[in-house]
Amino acid sequence: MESIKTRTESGINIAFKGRLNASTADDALKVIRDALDELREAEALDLDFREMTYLASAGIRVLIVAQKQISAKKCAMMIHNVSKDVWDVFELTGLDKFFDLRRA
Amino acid sequence: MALRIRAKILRVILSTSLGVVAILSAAAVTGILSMRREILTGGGKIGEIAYARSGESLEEQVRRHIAGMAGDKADLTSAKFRTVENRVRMIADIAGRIYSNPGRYPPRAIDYLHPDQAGQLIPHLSSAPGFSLAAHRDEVYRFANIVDMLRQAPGTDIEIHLNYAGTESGFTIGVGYWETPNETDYDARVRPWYIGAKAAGDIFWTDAITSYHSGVEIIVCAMPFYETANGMRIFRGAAGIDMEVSETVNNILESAEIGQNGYAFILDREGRVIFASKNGTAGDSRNIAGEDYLKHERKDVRDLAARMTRGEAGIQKLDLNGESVYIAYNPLPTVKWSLAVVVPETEVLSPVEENRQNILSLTRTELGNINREILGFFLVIGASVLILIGIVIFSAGKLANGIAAPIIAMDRDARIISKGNMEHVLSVKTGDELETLAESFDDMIKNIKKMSAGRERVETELNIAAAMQASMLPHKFPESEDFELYAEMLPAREVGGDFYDFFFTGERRERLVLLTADVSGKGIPAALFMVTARSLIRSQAQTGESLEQILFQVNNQLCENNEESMFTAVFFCVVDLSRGSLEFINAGHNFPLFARKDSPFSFFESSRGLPLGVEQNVHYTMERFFLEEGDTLFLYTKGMTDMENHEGEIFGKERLLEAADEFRNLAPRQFDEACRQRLAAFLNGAEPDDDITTLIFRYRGKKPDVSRGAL
Repeated sequence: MESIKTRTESGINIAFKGRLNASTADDALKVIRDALDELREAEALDLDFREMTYLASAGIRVLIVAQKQISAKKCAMMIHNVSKDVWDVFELTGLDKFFDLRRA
Repeated sequence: MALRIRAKILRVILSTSLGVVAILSAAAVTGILSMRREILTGGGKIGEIAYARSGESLEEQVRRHIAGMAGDKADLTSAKFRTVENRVRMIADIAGRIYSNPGRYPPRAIDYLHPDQAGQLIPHLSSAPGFSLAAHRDEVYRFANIVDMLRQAPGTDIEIHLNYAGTESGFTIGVGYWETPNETDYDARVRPWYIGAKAAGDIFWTDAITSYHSGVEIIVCAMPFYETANGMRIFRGAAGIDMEVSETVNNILESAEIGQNGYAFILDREGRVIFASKNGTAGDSRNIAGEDYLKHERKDVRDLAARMTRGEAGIQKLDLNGESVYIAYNPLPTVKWSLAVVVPETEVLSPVEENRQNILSLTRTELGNINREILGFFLVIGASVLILIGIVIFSAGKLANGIAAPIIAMDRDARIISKGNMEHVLSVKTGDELETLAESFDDMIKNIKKMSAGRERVETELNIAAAMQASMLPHKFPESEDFELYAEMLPAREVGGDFYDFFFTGERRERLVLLTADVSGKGIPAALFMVTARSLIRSQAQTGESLEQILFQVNNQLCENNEESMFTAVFFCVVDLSRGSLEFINAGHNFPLFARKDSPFSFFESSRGLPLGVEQNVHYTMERFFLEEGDTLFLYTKGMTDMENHEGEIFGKERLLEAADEFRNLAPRQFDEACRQRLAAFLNGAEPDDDITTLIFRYRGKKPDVSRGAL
């Protein structure tokens, strides 16, 4: 699991690469929390899942945590380039409506 | 590795020690060599200086010797010549007296020399041609008184051949040895000595001239004599003494010790060599007598001759007759000759050269000794260095071993420990930091042991928890004519988040609640969350509320204090056995499989809500349909479909569907086992990384009147 964080005009972009599962969830959560600390009100956190190969339920939990904190901060979180497999996971868990997802 | 440590230590020690040895050796060798160079040049210099000094002093000595010799010879010769002069003066004096006072001298008979008397010392008369004895008898006989005077000289000195007195009258009286008397045609008045003496009016030395009588080279010392009468001096003749040159000069020169090749020569007033000594081989080999040095081809010789004829004394070095010689010269003032002593330079220098050779050979010997000493010193240094290197290599090796050996031992021990033998102890007793290190390592191992023991305990406890968790799930499946039921939860490694549940509700226990759930994450948090969720669902379900209401409440309760954002997907369904209906809500759960009797399975693609615990106040939508006899519902968690084999392939929904269709006629328990075996075969040894939970419900048909058995 790798992540690259970049500052954009509208906020922060984090590109993930690899598997987001129980063993990488904590690292991913830390990256996201750091980004949330930097994030100013009304800015957006963009998560790029183009190179996300696997998403486990533990990973989803991280996203839920992030989504909740984003909402509390009145910011927006968007997940981009969601592959079909990962989309299926979201769909499977009924969370495809909970998150703002964009297909690849 | 250990070998490298040893090699490193060895290299450092050896290079340092050898460096020091090399520097010291180089310093010593350089010092010795420069000392040697100094001694060599110094020794050579000393030899050269000694040579030069001895050369100079020897040459000086030789010069003095030669000059002294020349001076002595000259003095001796001069003295001899003065003796001759005195004698001539005496003869002349007597002759003058006879002429001045003839009356005092009675006539004495004297005659020409008789041939028989040749070689005898007999006074004799000789006269110029045409001289008449008869006419001058009185004069001759009175003058014959001179004989007593003349008689004194010859014979006493070997070189004096003849004393005589010649008169103006034309006769001469002499005493001496001669071999070929020719006395009747001898006119003294025309002889050089007579003419010279007459002209000089005093002592006169002739050059070397040929004797009238004997034909040999002679010099004549002559003195005029006068008749004194009435205060008048009338020249009457001259007295003379013949000296044979060779005899004279030999007497002078032959006593000279002029070395092996030295010789002497005499230069007359004309610059001619009138004699060269026969002493020494050089004198013999060179016939320089008669050479005119004033006209010599070499200027330095001409200059020398000029100085000599001027009556100077001196010594100089010059090239004479192709040989470098020292020549000392002194005047012989009486005869106005010059006597020279000649010594070849080689002879002069031979002692010098000998001295030089002695010094040089001494120096060489000394240098040879020094060289030997230095060589010996080098040998000692070399041997010392070799011994030193040996000692260094030996002790460095020991030191390196001393350092490396415990490290090697520690490495070996650590390998043993790393293979799992935690009881192994590092036993290094070096008494230094290595021992401390080994002790620290042992302490570390002890702590690791403690930690791993703790971890093992946790693992054990987790396994117990997993077992407990599994045992919490109902395993007693209700026996009923209406349905068949089987469920199984297989945790992956430790306590997990999956669970299933079934229980009856309703006043007549006509409602059968079935569910499978998948909690996010694993481990204790997931397990606790699962327990919470299960209890909440069980208790909420007992309220008899609608499924929607039940999940609404459970979800809200799960969301409270859910800091960790745990959540669980649930497929929650209730079979109303009295009505033969099935109500269900899918809260984020994967789609179950469903099949009618004699029909293939298909996915039960209902609408789906959020998992429980994600967000509060979620409204779930329940769906309902009626069951038919032979309907089979197959609930499973995603462990059943999402697991990968070693090739990274997931089992997937299609394979599950295939398996389900294949085994659809089996009873639920056997069906479950068959499907799990199919999955296991697919995984082919890959360890399951997720819980697998299944629940199979088969409906046998509506039997409204059947009473319910206890669960």
